Amino acid sequence: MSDDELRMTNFARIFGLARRMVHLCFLLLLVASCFAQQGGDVAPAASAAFDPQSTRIGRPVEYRVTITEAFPTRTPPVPPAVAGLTLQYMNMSASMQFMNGRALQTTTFRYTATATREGELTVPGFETAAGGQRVRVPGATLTVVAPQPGEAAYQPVRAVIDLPKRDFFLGETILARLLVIDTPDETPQFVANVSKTSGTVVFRTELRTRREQFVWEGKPASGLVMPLQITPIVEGETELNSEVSVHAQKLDPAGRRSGFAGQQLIMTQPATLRVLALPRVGRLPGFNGGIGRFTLGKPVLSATEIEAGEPLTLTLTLRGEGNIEGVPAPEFTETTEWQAYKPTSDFQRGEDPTQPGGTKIFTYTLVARREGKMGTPQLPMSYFDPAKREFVDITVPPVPVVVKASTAASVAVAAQKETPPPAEEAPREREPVMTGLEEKPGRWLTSASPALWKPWFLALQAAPPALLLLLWAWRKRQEYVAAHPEFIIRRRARKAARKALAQARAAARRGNAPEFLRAGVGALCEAAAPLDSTCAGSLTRGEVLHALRDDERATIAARAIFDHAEATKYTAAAAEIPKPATLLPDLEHAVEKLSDKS
Amino acid sequence: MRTIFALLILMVVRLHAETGDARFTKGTAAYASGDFAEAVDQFRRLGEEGNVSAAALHNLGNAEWKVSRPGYAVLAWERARALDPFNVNTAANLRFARSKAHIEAPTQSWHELYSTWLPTTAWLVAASLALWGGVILLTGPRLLGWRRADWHQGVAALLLAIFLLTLPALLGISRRAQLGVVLEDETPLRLTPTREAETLVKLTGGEVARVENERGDYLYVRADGDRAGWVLRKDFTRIWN
Repeated sequence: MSDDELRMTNFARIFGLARRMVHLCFLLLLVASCFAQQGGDVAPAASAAFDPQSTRIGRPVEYRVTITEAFPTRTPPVPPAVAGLTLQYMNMSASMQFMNGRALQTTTFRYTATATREGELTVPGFETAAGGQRVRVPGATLTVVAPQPGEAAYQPVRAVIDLPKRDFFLGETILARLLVIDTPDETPQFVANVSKTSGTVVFRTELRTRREQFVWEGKPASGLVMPLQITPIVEGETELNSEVSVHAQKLDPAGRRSGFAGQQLIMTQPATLRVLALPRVGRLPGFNGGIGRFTLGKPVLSATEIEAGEPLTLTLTLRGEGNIEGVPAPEFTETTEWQAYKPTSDFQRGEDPTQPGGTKIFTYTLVARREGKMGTPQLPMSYFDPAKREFVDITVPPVPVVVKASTAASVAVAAQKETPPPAEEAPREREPVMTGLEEKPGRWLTSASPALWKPWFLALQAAPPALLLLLWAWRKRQEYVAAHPEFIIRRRARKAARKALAQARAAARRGNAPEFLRAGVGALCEAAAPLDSTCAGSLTRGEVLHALRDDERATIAARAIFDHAEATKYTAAAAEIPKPATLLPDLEHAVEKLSDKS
Repeated sequence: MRTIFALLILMVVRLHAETGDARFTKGTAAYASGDFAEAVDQFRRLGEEGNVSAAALHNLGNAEWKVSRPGYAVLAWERARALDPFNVNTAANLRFARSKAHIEAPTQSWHELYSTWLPTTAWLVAASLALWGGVILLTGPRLLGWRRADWHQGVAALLLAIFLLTLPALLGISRRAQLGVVLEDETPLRLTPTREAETLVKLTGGEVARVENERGDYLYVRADGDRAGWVLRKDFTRIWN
């Protein structure tokens, strides 16, 4: 689908702009919340409600979930399914407030709830994730009653394309209308976007929609009207369908606005176009693709009396409705009397910008080659009227001009007679000439196109924000570490315990029992140090064993290692030490226990 | 290992440049000896092999002109001028071609003209450095825990002002991406994008037009004087493709 077909209306533009503004505000709030003190210790809260709390079968109401927390939530919660009730997510809105120096985010998620049975329908309470925490959304009850006898089913807004009732021609600009029709239950507020889904035509939406009263299928109706311009590009029958994104207001059974509005995507009813080629017979000279209904203003000359060789400007004004913007200026054929330059054209839209008509002004520059009473050359011009199905002649007739002999030429001739010819011809304006070749190739590139659209350039643009994000994360970590020094103590202790344990393992492999015991005691003390907020070297055997008191295996292993270590330290009874390999698994277990605790 | 890899890349780059230099010399020699078709072939193959330079495109334009293909010559010169807007020879050749073919230079908006004051790469580098330099100077000291100095804010303001000055040029560059050149003489400008379409007018080879829409094998272009219609893709090439 081409860009032209997806062109948004001004409402769509405003809506898109507003949406971008909301996103920007959201981003700014996010950035502000990074610099503000986060209310990380504020427990998230949630509420849920139906609005209104009672309805009839098939008549939609709004179901809202509101979450207040320290961090924004963007993922809509998924309410549990309720038999006889359909919930469809619509949109969300967020606001931020500062309370006691803390940023609090309130996010409201909106759903359309439609009941298919009567009774008390309750969406039970459920848990959802919010800012990394779980929050419980309370239940909400909707009272559904059966429709009253003779009451019509719910009618959403509908959209149709209103085309003139006739055949169309290739290249013609058809003035159509998109009608978004009010119903007793919904009224359209604005059209956000219109796009063609099928049909071999060029489809252009106009700038604005208007609320109007109109007649559709013989009945008076009201709604939004958007002018469309449709240009058929293939001969034959084509079915035109489009989808319309419309923001509609729901009405209550009494026809009042219920305060519940939402955006919805609706398909237009198929519209069939019968497209014919322009007739081959009856063509008039000067036809240059103009299809519509045009009138040509009176030709205007810049002067009615000129000198030979003097430029004369002829201005033609073409007005009307159709593809006037694309109609090129017909060109004069040069004659022996006139030299014609390439015409210029200027298009001016009509007063009503929703109408495709306007004025096109063609300006011709003519130079008379000889003197005498004559007229400007006749300019054949015609267009095709699709309503009448015929070509219409609007040929520009000759406009009388009096061309006098050039005074400059006569003065020049007289001067030539009086004065001898100059020795050298006066320098003329230099005509452009082609230059020679470049001798050096210069810097080689892989492509002449700018890097603006190349993936590597876009990736490169992502590098500075990534760097800033990394710096921000590093800064936050530094602040966290400064506020929680035990984090570093624990990390250092784990590292030291791992190192000592590795030495113990190496000693066990070598069968070096004293070294194993020394390293084992070191590993136990290092692992236990954060639990006591002290230095590993100053920990006593009792303190380590106290830390392991709830694990018997670890306590026995640690006690054995301390006992044997002391024995080797103060006695020479090294021979009674068990083999390090048998103590190693228990030592590892004890160190692991201590590390887990810290 | 890393050194070998770097050397390998350097060798490939060098070889690539040498191939380009050799072909450029061959093309220039062919042109000098009057074999313009061979010169066109050599300069064209440079582009196909991924070797593009303003000088090579300028020479390609000259050779194309000599073999009477003004549309292709204007395309090559426009591309050369996009790479090197200061090259007076290329600008002179474009003026020459337009005066010979009786066609007007394309009408450009002010931001498009502004974007031709510097090569596109210079605008992009200036915009990137100014934006990110300004943002880093504003946020970096706080993130790194440095004391905020007056010069940080002064330089950041200057860089952001430079970035604002580059914005119209970036807009101009993006708009210039829609410009293209009519390649063949008598190219029909059609009412609809179909083979049997009415011909509105015929465009001259070398005319510059703006692409407004695309459909299948056709482009909807608008040439000078508000002449708008569909042309076949093969008859029209964007300056930056």
